[in-house]
Amino acid sequence: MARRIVVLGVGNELRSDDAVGVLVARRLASLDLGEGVEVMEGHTGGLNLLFDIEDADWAIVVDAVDMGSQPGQVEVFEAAEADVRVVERTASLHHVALADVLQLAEMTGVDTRVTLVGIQPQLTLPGEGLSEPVAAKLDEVVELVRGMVEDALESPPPETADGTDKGRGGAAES
Amino acid sequence: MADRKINIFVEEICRVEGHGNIVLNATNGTIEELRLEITESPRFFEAMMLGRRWDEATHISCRICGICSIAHTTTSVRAIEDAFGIEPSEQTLALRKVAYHGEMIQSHVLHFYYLAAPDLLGVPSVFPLIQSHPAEVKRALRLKRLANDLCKVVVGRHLHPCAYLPGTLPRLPERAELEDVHARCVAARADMDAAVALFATLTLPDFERPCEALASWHPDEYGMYECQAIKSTKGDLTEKHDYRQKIREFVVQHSHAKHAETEHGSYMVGALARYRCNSDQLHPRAKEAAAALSLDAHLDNPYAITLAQVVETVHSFEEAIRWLEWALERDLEWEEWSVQPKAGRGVGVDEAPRGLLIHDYTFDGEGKLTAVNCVIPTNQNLNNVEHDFHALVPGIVQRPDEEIQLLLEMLVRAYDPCISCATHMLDVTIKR
Repeated sequence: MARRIVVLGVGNELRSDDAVGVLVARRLASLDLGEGVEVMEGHTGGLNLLFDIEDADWAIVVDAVDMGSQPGQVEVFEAAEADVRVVERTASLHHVALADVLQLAEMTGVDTRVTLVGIQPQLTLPGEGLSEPVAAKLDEVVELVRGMVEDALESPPPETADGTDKGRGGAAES
Repeated sequence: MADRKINIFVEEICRVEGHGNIVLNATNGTIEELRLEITESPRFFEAMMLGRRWDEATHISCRICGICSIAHTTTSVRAIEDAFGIEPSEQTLALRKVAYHGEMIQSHVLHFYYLAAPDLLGVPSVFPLIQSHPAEVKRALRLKRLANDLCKVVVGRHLHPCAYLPGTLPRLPERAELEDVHARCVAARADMDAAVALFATLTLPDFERPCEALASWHPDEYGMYECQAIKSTKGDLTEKHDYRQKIREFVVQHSHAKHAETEHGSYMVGALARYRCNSDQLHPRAKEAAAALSLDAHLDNPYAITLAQVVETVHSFEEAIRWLEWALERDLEWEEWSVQPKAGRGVGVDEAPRGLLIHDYTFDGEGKLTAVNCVIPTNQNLNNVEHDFHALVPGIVQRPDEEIQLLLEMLVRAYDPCISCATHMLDVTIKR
């Protein structure tokens, strides 16, 4: 069974560099990435982002991430390996952070592999348009994600312990 | 004995939508200050809409809310249809109801499972419930996703509908899409039975304060959608165009959101208000749920709003199933469509998940808005919440501060306020 790959760009377009994930997804949506690949603009979808990724075998999530590095710095990391934490008293489900969604996914047994492509923002205050160091990386991130998807489509699907394609076999529940 | 001073200041109440504070100062049981401050910035939606054309009005006004945007769209379109004399077909109304009830379900599920259940189960958020109640959390996610899909199938996406026009729907759902969500709604009956069983075991804080309740009224069904009048538990019925004769909105100093009252003072809107006004029109399965939850024993307890939401979710699933079956029994037909703007006033009255929602538009001959008034559920409840505060606190003032604070926070959360929607207090008159 063909793998399903989701590329999800998240962020708030009205908060300067936070838009970068959405802008990357918009650029990727105009390219033909291949069969079984879906590109989505997640915006500030909150909890609903979970529904965008939970049926996929692999979700590549592109987002502005404060990593304490130089603005425009790009890092690719597996969500399972990152220290994703949420504060105990979630302020509002209207503004559920990506971190909450990933934790909820992990804790409820969603077995989608999630890879984060994080871009260090310079500015996330209200405003439109990217800062210069982040804007300068837009093409690079688009190519990076396209490359990740192409490599995955060219390589055979990862085998699980029982030799089946990861968890997609019988569960028809959508 | 030393004076006991209580100084509670809850800055940004959690698990509500938007920003509000609770202030309580008391000495030896005497309340000095007690209020719900609304600090969210006002957003001027009504002023933004002035001068805009009818076909922009709906897309702007639905952005008032990121949770109940379909209710705002519905009410906005009903106001336009009322102004221009447009009668949608039975098919259009049936399909709209599928999306409408989808939103009602997703909003209620979000509140009773994610925002209110943690209080009743004694944990600070939904996350500890994943360990203690994993089946319930998965159930909540499954219901929410299905509700989103009910909206998406009909109006294009689960919020800010892109396929919703006065008089018609510009896209007809595929049969396979309708069959899919229908089968999942039927399966969801078991999930709702389990949700009712869970909430039947939970204990509400013990508090009662009788108050007036207002809800939309429809002669043939539980008043939610496409309503012509506003019903009060005091027994009166107000025709929708005359809502200002019943409801008066006013400004208070400590809130960026308007307050509201009737001739009887503060009043309640929302799930419990609807139940109090129209419970005899609920679907039999929803009536069974209400009996299992002993809802009739808690009609004056605002903490029971959460239980009423569970009951209404059962009702909305049955309504979604009913209208999906209506659509599946026939071949849906594409409808020719045109809108002829005309000068005049139109009013839409429906129920948003949080209560009575009114959009009141006046158009010029080109179909541009010359006057806009939106009456939002949370605004109407704020005054009532403060009256509840004043009735609640004297009875609990001897308890520890933390308990008083939690009960006040839970009371605010019970009303499921959507503070962002409510903040539009400033009246702006633009002279052109």
